[in-house]
This record gives sequence, structure tokens and C-alpha cells, in this order.
Amino acid sequence: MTDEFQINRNQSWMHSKRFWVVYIVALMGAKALITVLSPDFEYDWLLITVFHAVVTFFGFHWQKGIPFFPTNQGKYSRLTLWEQIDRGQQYTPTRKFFTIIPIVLFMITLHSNGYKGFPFYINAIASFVIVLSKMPRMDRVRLFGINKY
Amino acid sequence: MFLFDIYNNILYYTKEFIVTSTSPNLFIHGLMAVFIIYLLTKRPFKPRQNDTLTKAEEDELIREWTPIPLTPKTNPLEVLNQKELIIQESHGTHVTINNKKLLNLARANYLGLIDNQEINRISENAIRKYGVGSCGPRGFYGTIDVHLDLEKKTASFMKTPEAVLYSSAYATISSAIPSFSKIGDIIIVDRGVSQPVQVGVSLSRSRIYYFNHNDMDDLQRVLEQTQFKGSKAKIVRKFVVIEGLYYNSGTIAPLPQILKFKEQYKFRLIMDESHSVGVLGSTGRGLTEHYGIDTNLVDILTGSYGNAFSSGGGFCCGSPEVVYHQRLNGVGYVFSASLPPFLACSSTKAIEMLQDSPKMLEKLHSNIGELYQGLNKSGALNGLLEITSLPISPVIHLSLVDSKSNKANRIDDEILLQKIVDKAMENGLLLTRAKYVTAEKFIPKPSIRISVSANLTTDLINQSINIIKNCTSFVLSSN
Repeated sequence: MTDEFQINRNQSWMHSKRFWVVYIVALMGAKALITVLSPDFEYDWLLITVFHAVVTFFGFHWQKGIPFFPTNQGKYSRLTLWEQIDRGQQYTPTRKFFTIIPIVLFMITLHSNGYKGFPFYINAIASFVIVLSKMPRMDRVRLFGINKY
Repeated sequence: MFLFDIYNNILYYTKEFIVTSTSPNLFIHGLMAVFIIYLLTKRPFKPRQNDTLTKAEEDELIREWTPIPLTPKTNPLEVLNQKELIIQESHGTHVTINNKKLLNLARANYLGLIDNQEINRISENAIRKYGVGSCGPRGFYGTIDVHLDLEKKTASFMKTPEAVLYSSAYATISSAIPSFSKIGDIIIVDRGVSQPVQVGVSLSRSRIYYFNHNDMDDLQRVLEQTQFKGSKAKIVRKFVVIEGLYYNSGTIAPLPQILKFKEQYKFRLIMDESHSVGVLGSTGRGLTEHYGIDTNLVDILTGSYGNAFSSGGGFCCGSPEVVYHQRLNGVGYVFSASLPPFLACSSTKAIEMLQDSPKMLEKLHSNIGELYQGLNKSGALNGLLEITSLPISPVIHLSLVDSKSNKANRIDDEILLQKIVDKAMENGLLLTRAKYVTAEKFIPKPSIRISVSANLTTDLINQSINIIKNCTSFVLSSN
């Protein structure tokens, strides 16, 4: 039973399957764009993985409250976007989708750049941080008080 | 040869497959695949809500449960407070109850403007012109020129840049506080505030801290306690809520000291002047004028037209930002039909009259003084009642000297005071006990509350002092 006024417009758009398709197409489009612009660049998937990790880290796990819809009387002002999804319910389809995306990106990058050397470490650290932040255990946990208020 | 080539190729690829399958690369891929499958098999759950009860706990709860009665039980105090009087006729100083004319000291009519001929005439004209109601909230066709006039008049009277009008004095403070203070903010409140302020404070859903009534050391303790360092201090708004003249006790707030704290600890000050505006100060501008302080130092100042100006509605004045914020966020402003135009007209006229004839205010001050001195004289109350309010307060609280009541048991004192009130009514004087909602957090001592009016004459004051004196000694000596 969700009334219209109770919908958190900050996260309600994330549940649509169409948006998920657009998301995947956008990632593949980024890969295609890099390939077209510089065909010899071998770290294209690494670039996409790291860029995706940084953007989603700040979007999902750093920015708190509802930046564009100043409603809800500060109810969500202490919660990150990730914690607002599905009102804090864990392992929902939306959460699973957004958790699997960085894992798959990690696997693709691993496949194209191998498991040795500096690129692998960047790939591993970026993916590890972004996946760890999405785990249920990390819900409303602020490690070392970073970004607490 | 061809077959041999195929054989070689198969051998080569098999070899490579064995090499790569044991490589860490494939191993990590396998791990990730397992992790994805693990994620996909998990069922959704809500954290921090899995405290299900065991069978034993369930039984325990069921055993402890007793059904509540369909109608709530009334305690004796509520029964006492339910007593109603029907007023048949009302004039400036007197009311008629049960065909008996009584001097009314029970209602707030500080400047004595009830039944003023001039104001009656203006109200009647307004009703003939606009009708009795304004038929809409301020944002939806409810704004009439008289509202704008009154806002301008109030702002200029209070010497603030802007003022916003509310249609009810009760709703003024109880929607001004929640419009500024939200979840996660901090409100520090005096324990002696009256009920509308308490409602506003609890509606805000902020964290609430209380300090002892007018106790500045205690306020400083709370301020120290709520002093945050670093990034938390930046996002937590802090408000101190006081009343100019405390209706529940007839005392005034030590404003200069609080303003000194304001500089030191950085908070915003919300002051409710419902009972001090039009009363305190040499021209009736309230507590700030009483102390000779600029009104604009108080961030959010609310007041009522219902007490001194004998009209209805309330106002909040402050800087333009404070006022404009409330025009979109003050719940009582946005969602409530606006003030009836005739009340706005009479309020405007009342403020004008107060500005034009300061005599009215002098008379009120001298009346308060006379009544206070008369009651405070030795032997006036036979040492049975004591005045707990200040000599400048238009609200005079008389409470029992040898009161044995505590929070749990105040019914004996209330019955005794009610006897005095009933006796006074027999002798032609309408008094009232100070009545409180049972759910209030900090209920003051039981008392009789007297409201002084400017149109009382010396005779009436002496007469009422005598009645109070006789009734008190009659009731308490026979007890």
C-alpha cells in the first residue's frame, strides 16, 4: 500500500526493467565509443569499470538525502541513495541488478587485461569497494565515521 | 596428414584449456560466477526488523494483555474540568450567567477592548462588506485587503521588516516551530511553556531538550551538552523556544541573558509573545521593549491578537526570509482558511487605538499594580493563598500556600480552589482555575488564574479583592 505522496522520487525510477536495459546499452555504447575513438587502446573496459565505480560510488554511497526533490521533511536526509532503495529492503531485484553490474564489469576487465600488474589492482580495488558498499552488512554503516553527517 | 593436423590442433587446444583452466584468471571468473549465483538466490529481507518473538514471549504478552475499556476512564480532575458555564450576555467587564451579572476576571481582555463601541462599529461594517468568513486559505482566494493591511500594521507596530498572519492564535506558534525545525534538529525548551508551544515543539519531530523554568545555568548546561564540533554542527539547526510572558506562571523570560547566550552558542531564538504583546513595555510592544532590546534580535517572534487586542488570530514577525518561509511552510497558514475579515479589521483598529492612546496601556499597568498590591497586602489573603506571578504580569496566579500536591495527586488542591471559585461566583465574581490538559508534560502548581483588564475601575478592583479575600477565608477556614 503505497500512496502517491509517499513515493520517494529519488529512487522510484530505478526499478523499471526498461531503465536496466538502457543502463546496459549505455555501458556497451561507452565501450563502442572508446573503440571508435581509439582502436588501439587496450584498457577500454578498465576505463569503463573505474569510471562506473567512481560515479556510482558518489551517486549511491556518498551523496545523502534527496538532492532534487526537497520533500519528505528531511526523512531521508541521513540516508544515501543506496539505503533509500526499496525503503532499506535488502536483496531486492533492483539491488541485485545494481550489484551484479560491477561484478560483470570486473569479470570483463579481468578477461581483457589479465590478472597481473597494475591494471588488475585498480580493477580489483575499484570493484571491491563498490561491491562491498552494496552489501547488506554495510547498510547505514559509516566506516571510521567518514561522511557521517 | 590431414587427420594428423586435426589431431595436433585438438591436442593444442586441449593443452591450452588445461593450462588456462588452472590459471588464476579462470579461477577468479569462477568465484565471481558463484558470487553472482549466490546473490541471485538470496531472498529479500528488511534489516533490523527480524526481532520475531519466541513462543514463550508471545504467551507472556498474551497473558499480560488486558482489554482497555471502550470508553476511556475519566479521572476526578477531568470530571471537575468538565463543568460548563453558559454565558447569556457579555459586556466589557461583566457577563451574565444563570441570569446573574458577574464581574469577569477569567478571560484575557487586557486592553479592555471587548465591547468597545468604535471596534464594534468597524466590525459590523466589515461583516456587511465582506461577510463573516473569508472562505479560503490565504493561497486560495482567501487573501483580502484587510489581511494585507493588518500584516503591514503589525510589522510597523512591532518594528520588524515583515509579519505573517495566522487565522488562529493557537496555530501560530504550533505551526511556526515545525516549519523551521525538522527531523534531526534540536529544540531547547523552557519547562514552563504553555500548551500551544508544547504542541508545536512535539509536532516538529526534532530532538527536544528541556531546561528548568527561567534557570539560566540550566540553559547553559543544556547548550554545552548540545554543542557539536565539526561537520555535525554545520547541519544541525538549534532553536531555543521561550515565551515572553509565561501564561502558566505569569513570569517573564530573562531575555538579555538569553541573547548573550545566543551570541556565544549560536542558536536561533523563537519567542512566543501571545500574552506580552500589547501589555509589556511603555508602548505595548512586548518583552523586547520592556528590556529595551531591538525586536529584530529575536529571530522568530509570534504573538496573538486574541489576548490584548481582543480580536482573533495570531502573527509571526521577523526578517523577510522568516516570513516568506512560513507562507509556504507554515501549516496553519497554508492549510487553514484565513482570518475572518472583521477580526482583521478589529485587530487593525485595536493596534491603531493602542498607538493613538497610550492612556489605555497606563490604565492597564496601574490596574495590574493595584490588583497585585491589593492582593499582596499583608492579611489580604490571610496567608492562605500566595501570588506566584510577577507584579507586572496581567495574568495573576494565586496558589495555595500549604499545598501538599504533587504531579500524581493534585485533585485535593484543585477541589479546594474550585470551592473558592464557586463561592466567588455566588458573590458576583467570575474566576477560573488554571486548567491544563492531562497529557501535558510539565503541569504547574494548581492555581486560580486572574486576568486583569484595562477597563476595570478602582471600585471594581477593590470589590474583587474583597470578594477573593472573603471567599478564601470562608472556604479555607471551613475546610
